[in-house]
Amino acid sequence: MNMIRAINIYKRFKDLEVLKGISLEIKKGEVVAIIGPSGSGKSTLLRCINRLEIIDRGSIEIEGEPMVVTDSSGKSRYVKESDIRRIRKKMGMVFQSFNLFPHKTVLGNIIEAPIIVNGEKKEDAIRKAEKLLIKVGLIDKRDSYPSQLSGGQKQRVAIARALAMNPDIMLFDEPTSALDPELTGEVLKVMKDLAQEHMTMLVVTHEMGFAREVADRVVFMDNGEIIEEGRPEDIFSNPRHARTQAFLSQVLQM
Amino acid sequence: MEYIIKITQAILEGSLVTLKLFFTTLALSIPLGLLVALVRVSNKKVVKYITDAYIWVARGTPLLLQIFFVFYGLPSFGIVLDRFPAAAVAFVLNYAAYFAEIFRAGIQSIDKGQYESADVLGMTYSQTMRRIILPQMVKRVLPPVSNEVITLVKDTALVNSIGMVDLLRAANIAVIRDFNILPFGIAAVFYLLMTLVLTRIFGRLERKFSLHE
Repeated sequence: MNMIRAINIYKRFKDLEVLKGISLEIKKGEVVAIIGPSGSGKSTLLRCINRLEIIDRGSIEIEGEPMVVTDSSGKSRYVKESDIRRIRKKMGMVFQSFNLFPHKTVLGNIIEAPIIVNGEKKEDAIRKAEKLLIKVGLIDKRDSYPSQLSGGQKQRVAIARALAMNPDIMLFDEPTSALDPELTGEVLKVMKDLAQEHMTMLVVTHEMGFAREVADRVVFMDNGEIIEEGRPEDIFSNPRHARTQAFLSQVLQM
Repeated sequence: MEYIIKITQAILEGSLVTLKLFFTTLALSIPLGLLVALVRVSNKKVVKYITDAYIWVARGTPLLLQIFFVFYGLPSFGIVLDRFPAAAVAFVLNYAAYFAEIFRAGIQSIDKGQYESADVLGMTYSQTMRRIILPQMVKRVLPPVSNEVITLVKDTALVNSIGMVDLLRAANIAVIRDFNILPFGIAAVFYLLMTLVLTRIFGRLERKFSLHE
């Protein structure tokens, strides 16, 4: 079964057409990396899949359930809010800028949604949060506030916070782009561990090493379109399209 | 000395009126201001126009005029209020407008990413407001709120104009009766003590809320 099925997505911001008919399907346990130059629409695509942005046309299904469908007149129509809320809970999201809650401790950040959204008991939520903190290597920061953490630590907390909602799919929006270079490794390692546990992952990234090593499939986007996609070894060593070649030669040179 | 004790007592009685108005205004205008702010950030057109007009009038006319209007003006519309309730209504409506604008600015200063992360975690709008946005807003609005609260202490003296015997009026009566300006000095000390206590309280609150920074 497809975990994510996005068909013919169009999205424009005022006069700027950001997505021009994108279709993307992701299978269970698959790790897909989306690469491409900035402004290519890759983050927008991720945000559309999670309904942080409303699409203009197209349809999106999550685990076989429609979230937005195209009606006969060609316009997209979202299902009702309570269904969207339920469908979205299957997806966890990690942002470039972490977006931790600054007024809550590390533990408080992680247990907040499980308690108030899922109605979990506080003790259960804490137990699960502690397990997740051990997993991301931050159990000793349990009672720290986000302001006391490094960027890499913040992002690992953000990943733990998303995992605490037991998602089936994890969306990563340039998770290492705001980090100092020496801090990206710790975040990528956590993501690699997740991939090895067969979490379904969709990762927008500039980390070519990660895309090559961890992804099952690499999608290259440029100018609102998917130009090329395939296994990482094919994309990286044998790109077919000129734009892919140009992009890769630029980023791999550095 | 005996004289000082005697007029201090009179001024003390006046300051009970001042304090009563002060606390009544605070207790009602802060929740009302928060409500108006929440309505204003919710992007509902009609209520926005109504609250825009309310804030315009409340901030655009003198508080003294508003007190006169409620006490002397409303009776011609069939609403007759006693002195204290009239003063309280004017103060609450006036201060709620200022608090509403402070809270609105505070809410809008919170990063969009906070809404987005609450959203993707499945929180509803009201959960996001209660648990994520408002707690962060409180910290940011403490300095301007503390300004308003200190101004409120002194603004209460305006109730003189409708014949209420507050702290300042009590002192004034003694000054005129005894031909001695000492009571004004005592009144000043009273105001200073009240604002000192408030300054301390807000200082402590700010420290408490800055712990996680």
